Amino acid sequence: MRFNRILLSLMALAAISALAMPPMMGDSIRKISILFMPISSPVRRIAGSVDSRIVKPIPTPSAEINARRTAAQLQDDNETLKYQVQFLDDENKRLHAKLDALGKLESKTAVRMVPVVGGDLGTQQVLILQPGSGDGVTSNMPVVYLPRNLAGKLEVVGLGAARVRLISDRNFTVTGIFQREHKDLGRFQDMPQPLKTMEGMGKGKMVIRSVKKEEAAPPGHPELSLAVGDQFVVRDKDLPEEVQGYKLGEIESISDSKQPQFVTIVLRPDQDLMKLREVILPAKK
Amino acid sequence: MRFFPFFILAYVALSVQVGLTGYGSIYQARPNLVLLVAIFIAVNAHRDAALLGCFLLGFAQDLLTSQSPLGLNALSYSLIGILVINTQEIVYSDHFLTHISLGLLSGLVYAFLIYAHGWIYYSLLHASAKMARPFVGPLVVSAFYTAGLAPFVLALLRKMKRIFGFRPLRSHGNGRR
Repeated sequence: MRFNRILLSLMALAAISALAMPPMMGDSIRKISILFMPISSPVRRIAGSVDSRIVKPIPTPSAEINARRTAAQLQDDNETLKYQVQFLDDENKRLHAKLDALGKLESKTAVRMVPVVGGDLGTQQVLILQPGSGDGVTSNMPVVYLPRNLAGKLEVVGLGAARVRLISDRNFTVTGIFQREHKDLGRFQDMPQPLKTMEGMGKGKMVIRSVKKEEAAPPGHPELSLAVGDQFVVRDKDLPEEVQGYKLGEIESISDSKQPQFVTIVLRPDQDLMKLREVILPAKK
Repeated sequence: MRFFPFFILAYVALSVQVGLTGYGSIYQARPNLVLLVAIFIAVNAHRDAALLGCFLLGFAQDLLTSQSPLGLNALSYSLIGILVINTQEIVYSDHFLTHISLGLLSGLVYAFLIYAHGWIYYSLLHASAKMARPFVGPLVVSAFYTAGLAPFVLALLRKMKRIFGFRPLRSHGNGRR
């Protein structure tokens, strides 16, 4: 074969780089995503629009449980929630009036919606954002989505574009606690289980491995046992105060681990994170 | 091969691939449109131009792939390019069965290279980095998915063949393009 020597040299260089280059080393020059935005952004919008019409969204585990409730139960909950909304509305007005009086209505931090313009071309669960000016946007900053969910952390911030590594990406870890929503009372209850670390599975889900059976189901207290639909929320000292308590996902399944006396808990985020169209970034004023 | 139209095609393919991430995936697998462009170039262009085109496509993809060493896709696409270039003389390049079989073969070779690299790189050479190596399932499904789309994408590209200025078979010595 008479291949060009330059091409062979390039291939040899690529082979050496592919094997010898440290994993994160290339990130410093991977800041060209913005160049593809004029096409990737409208393509993503069209794909999202078509997808929302064709593909039925997968309900969260708690929504599935909720769907099985009777009409009478739902009516009852509805009345309770109406009362709570009224109460919280009044409380909100009262607190705003107090803040106005104190002249502290201006918050030190604000948030802004940032469009997702695409995703990573590799096997990682990573999204590309267009944060605009990039003021105040730095690596490791948490990225959230509505209503109060953590999407991931910023990984590479470049010229007008940034990448967010999603919580469902493999080996992504966050510490948190379990919470149970009492729809009838309209409040959340912290479960007694200690802090746990969840890990991304890379398939749009997360896992908590090796939870002791007596932790998952405390003997003599069936009401404190973890169940499908319970939430896992952020309680991580490496993340800022603003995102503590943000939802990571809901328990989809609890199964026996390979080791006896342990269970494995699989969590699912509220929506397919790879299909997010907008996320929220904190922006310092 | 004219390189200006090639760069435009590469840009569009990469942009569409970036924009479609997360949509239309089956079992976490998605079609590889950039690979289909590499096949189109390799099956039609002159040997050296085709190889350079495949290398550049792979390198551009490397720049859009996080947590992966630079050069992996460039090398993979170049090797696939060599494979496809060598079939130029024995296949009918415009037949849809050629498109499906080349799409599947290239997809499987790509899956093998990425998985083998992941195993060597993340498990042996850089085990301390605690990075995750790719799953084999989505890579294989992606190969079949890409092969399924190959006749449509390559038929579309075939209509634009004149823009690229590929030289006809008889203009090369020994039937080479």
